[in-house]
Amino acid sequence: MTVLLISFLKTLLYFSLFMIFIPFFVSCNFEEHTDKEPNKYITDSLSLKTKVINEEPGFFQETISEVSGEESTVQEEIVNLYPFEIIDSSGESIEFKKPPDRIVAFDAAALETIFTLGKGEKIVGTHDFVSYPPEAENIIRVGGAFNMNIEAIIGLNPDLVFVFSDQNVGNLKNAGLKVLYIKSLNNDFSKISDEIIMWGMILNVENKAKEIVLDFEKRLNNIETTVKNLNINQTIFQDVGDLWSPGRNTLMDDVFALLNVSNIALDVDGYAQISREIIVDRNPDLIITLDRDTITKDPAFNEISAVQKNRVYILPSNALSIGGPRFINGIEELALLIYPENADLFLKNN
Amino acid sequence: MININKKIFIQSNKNYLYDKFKVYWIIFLCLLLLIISGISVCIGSVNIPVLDLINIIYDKILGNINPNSNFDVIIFKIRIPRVLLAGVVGFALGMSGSTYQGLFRNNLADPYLIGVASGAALGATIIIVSPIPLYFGVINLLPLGAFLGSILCVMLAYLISYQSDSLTLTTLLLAGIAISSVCGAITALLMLSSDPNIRPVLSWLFGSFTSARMEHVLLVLIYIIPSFLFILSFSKFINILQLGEDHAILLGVNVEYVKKGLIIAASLATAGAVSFCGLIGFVGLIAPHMVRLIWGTDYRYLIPLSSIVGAILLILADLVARTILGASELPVGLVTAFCGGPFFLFILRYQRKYRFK
Repeated sequence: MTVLLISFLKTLLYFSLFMIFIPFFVSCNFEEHTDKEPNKYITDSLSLKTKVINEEPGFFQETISEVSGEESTVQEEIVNLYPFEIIDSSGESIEFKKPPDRIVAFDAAALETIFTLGKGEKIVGTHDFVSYPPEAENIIRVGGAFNMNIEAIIGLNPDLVFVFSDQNVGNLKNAGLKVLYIKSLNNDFSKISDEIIMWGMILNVENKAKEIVLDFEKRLNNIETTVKNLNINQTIFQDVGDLWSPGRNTLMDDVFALLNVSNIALDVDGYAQISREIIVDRNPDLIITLDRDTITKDPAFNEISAVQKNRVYILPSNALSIGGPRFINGIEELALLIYPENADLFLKNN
Repeated sequence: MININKKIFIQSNKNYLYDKFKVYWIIFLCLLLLIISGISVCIGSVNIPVLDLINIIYDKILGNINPNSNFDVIIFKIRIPRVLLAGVVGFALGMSGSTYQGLFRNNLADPYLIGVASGAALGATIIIVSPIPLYFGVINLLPLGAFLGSILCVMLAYLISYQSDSLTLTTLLLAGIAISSVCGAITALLMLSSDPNIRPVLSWLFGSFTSARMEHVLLVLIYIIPSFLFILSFSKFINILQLGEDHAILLGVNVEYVKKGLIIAASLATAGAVSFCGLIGFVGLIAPHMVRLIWGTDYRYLIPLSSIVGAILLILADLVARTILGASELPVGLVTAFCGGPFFLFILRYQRKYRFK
């Protein structure tokens, strides 16, 4: 009898262990690269933009000349966009009749964007892992990536909930909340501009958003031309923990392409754990890691060019892990690590 | 009734002293282990031609410096340590799995039965999730944390079940299961409340030989060799224990001493193995069963045979794990579960057919 009981308990334990861990693994592995279809909202927000431009001919160009010219006199132009609709990643259209006042931004990038647009005081809730900007410290936390506390969100009485995954969209909508679900970016960081414009429209600070986007694009162009002029090709390996590395179809891969460095993990789709043999064989010129010791203290990596030339770096901030307005700072930081001799070229334009 | 007893008697009588047939099998399996290790050193995600491989090894033996240092590093600093570690860990898991199955007289027992796995997982998760740096000088804290976690959990289960001079195995089992579930809950909680990027913890929990080094092999061997010798010398008592503790006492076995010694030896070997490569399931469960189905239940042969079978299985599983996806790695624990499960089912089916014919 006891034996039966014990065997039953043990089976239960194994089963529950598997049940606990497998979903994490699967969701972590595939969240970033299963979605192959283009994000619908991007095209839609673009078409919205064109609509605005058509209504007021020359508006966009005017703003460009205003901002790029010194002492720009950006007037507080009240462009009455409302009401308008945004089509989210699940294909549903969300109507905005007026700017929202109480926002739950369940996404680090969206929170950063809203703060950069100067509307940070409208955010009433966010998730547990937001660390930037410092002003966001006092915002109420409503759970982590896997344990969103829906009751707490309802209790905050928001008029807009922004989420980056569709896990809880149904539950939130059932609770009568207005939910904007836009999938977090997994490639093509130029879409960050579209998101900034979108938030500008939602919060009725479109001019400010355009200003930020222009700055973003100006700095991006500067990096692009500088890199093109330098014309040095190097190989890179990024270790995001335990030799997991971004491969094709990731934001980081786009950044590497922009900076003219070849990612040695290019034959991997999404994120994967790279074998040490491959790293030794492909011999990267520089390595970005979280903990230098894991690379430099590994005897197998002694002969690698990056270790020999002491080019194993830790990124100075987490800007590159959040697809928000600070992303460009992250790219610049990485550029300084990749081209240490030409640091002045990247810095002089700021 | 009488017939069955007679059969058992005759069988045990036949096997009583020395079984030539099984000793030959042990030698054969050792050779197979060597061949499989050799083959796995030749195969990897970086393609090294066999002629180059022979040249590199030849140069190494003669002490020449090889011009192609990349291949040299890959063979001697990555592949050979990895194959050796997989073999040693598989050996330890097969050994402690069969020991636990004999000791608890329960076919569902495996090396992680009394809290080794969840304790190690908790220790490793604390090290990965907390802001403690992974390296303290040259010492990697991750295996240390895992080892301490597993030993503490087993000790706790042991102390709880050790009431008034006797060790009740059922209590030990239940205490182990209870401690496991508590540790599992704390691990899950730590993972949830840490940064969303929990891949390192996950790849550790599923088991991986990615960071295998020669020092790891030597450190694991320090635990495994004494444990193996101890368990092997006590294996005849495990045979007697199969009759039940009362009978064993009547036959003159110091049951308490045997139980304590075997639990400590098997737990130490498992903890040492688990600390460097994470939790690799299934090998410790199926290796003894395979051996039992093929070569019978005499623990004097079952323990060495299932150790070797465990080593072979794990080397093969690791070979699949590191080659099947090309440049990237699969956690070896997934491979053992995916391949081990169906294979085990096949063996069960085969055995059934065989028995009823």
